[in-house]
Amino acid sequence: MISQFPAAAHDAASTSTSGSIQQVSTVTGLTANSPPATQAHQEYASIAQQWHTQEQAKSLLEEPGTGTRVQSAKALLEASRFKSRLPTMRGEQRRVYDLKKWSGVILEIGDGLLTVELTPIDHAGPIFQVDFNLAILSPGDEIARPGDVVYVTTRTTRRSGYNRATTELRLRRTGTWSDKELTEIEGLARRRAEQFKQIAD
Amino acid sequence: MPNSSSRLLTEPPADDEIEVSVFGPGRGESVLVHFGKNKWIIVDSCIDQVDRSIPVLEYLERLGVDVSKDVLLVVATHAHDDHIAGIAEVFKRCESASFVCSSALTAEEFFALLEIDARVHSGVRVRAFSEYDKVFRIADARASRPGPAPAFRPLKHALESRLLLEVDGAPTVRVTALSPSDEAFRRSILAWKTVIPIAGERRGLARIDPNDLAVALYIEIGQKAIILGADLLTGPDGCGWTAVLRNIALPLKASLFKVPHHGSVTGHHDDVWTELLVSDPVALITPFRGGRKALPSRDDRLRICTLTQKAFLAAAITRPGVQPSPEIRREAAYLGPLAHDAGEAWGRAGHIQARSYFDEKIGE
Repeated sequence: MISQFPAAAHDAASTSTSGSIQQVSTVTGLTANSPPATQAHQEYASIAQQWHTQEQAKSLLEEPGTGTRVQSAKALLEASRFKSRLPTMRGEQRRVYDLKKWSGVILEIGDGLLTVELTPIDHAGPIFQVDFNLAILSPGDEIARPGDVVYVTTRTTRRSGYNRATTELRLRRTGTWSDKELTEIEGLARRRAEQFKQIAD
Repeated sequence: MPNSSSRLLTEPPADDEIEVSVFGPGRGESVLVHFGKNKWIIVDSCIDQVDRSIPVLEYLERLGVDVSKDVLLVVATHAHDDHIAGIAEVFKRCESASFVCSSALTAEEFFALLEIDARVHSGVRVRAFSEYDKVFRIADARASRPGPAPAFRPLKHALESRLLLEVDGAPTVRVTALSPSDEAFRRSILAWKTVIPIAGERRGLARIDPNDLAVALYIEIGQKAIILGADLLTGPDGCGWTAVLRNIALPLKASLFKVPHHGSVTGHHDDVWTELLVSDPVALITPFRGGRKALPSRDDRLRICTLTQKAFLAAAITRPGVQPSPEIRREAAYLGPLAHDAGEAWGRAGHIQARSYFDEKIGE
């Protein structure tokens, strides 16, 4: 339905300047068996409202008076122009390819570089070492230190016929220590030290 | 340094033959000593990053050695990843061996750090602390076995001047710890207390320098001596080689030296070469290439070559090859333009094998 109207509306535009209402209604296909003009108008207005500016939506929602069909035709024409500017999300899905993940440990930070040893998480592959430009650290991750754990994710997305690759490095958030946990650790450590006094020479 | 292209000897050493084999880097270094009659000690452990094998165990298996009976000591010189990878597996297989570590590593503060590390990094990767944790569990299980008490304690503490092993015979063998000193022990305990977190602090790995507690070994085999330097550093005062030179009088100068700290100047002390070693000793070095700065540096190599004509490196200093493997290149290609210089983190373990009969100089 949406794809029909633009062509018909274009024809309507070309005839409405010179033709009568009768002609317009014929060209647009708004015959007695078609949905009422106001309903079609509302459908288009609804679609337009989803994607366009407030001003454009308002103009499309102006209540038609006696020139209902003309108003509808104009609205349809207007909407057809907007269709070409509709975001490509509608009717076209963004696809994600080649999603890959690694866990890593920061070995060094210096000279503008972050040296990380990466181990694949979700696929078979080698452990290797790589330098990242420090620009890869997200705001808040500047607290990273050697020994910290990071996660690296790469993905390729395809949209509008083009592939785009992105890489993301996140610092593993480990939270903070609680009193309870530290007391527990202290107790465990004391017991183990006592235990090992018995077996160590 | 000599570029040796000689092949490794594949037969086991004779009963009257000493062998010192050094493996590294792989992931780290490992030293193996045979002191006669098929008796061995293993010092540190490393893992080959390509096939994940433990080179020292693979080598002993090729020689036909029964590691469950013939390895008497497994020594973990200090808690750095590059010296301890796989050591729990080594200790597990060497069922008759005692495990030697610095005395500070069974202190309450170190157990607290073990537990902290386990909670922060659980499931992520093998770390030094987790290896010690496994070792202690194995030692505990062996000590708790029902039946008569074993002839040896599964766990031995290393401290300056402490005799770790003595084997009577012809010749007599003594393995003595040169470090850590009492002062190093005291400083480390204090340092650990300061890094144990407080409530509200961000969870992360404790920042400690295990080199302060590194266990350097002096091995006497009859009229020959060997010094294994681990990663022992020069100081500070009262610690490291400074303390060894001040506190210990060695009966014999060593003719083979496992150079400490991958040949770095931080482990170098001039007086070690003049007072503890014969002139022109055999010097064995394992490179370090776990970060961007490889060791030994060019200056380190020049320095060592002025001290001995018989210096040997276990493997190439830089990461293997100009180009990383196709596998790594493919993997790294996913990472985008902010990633550079991908390569094997450690590479394959090399092997230096030094043998000498009891009555001749090592390396000749």
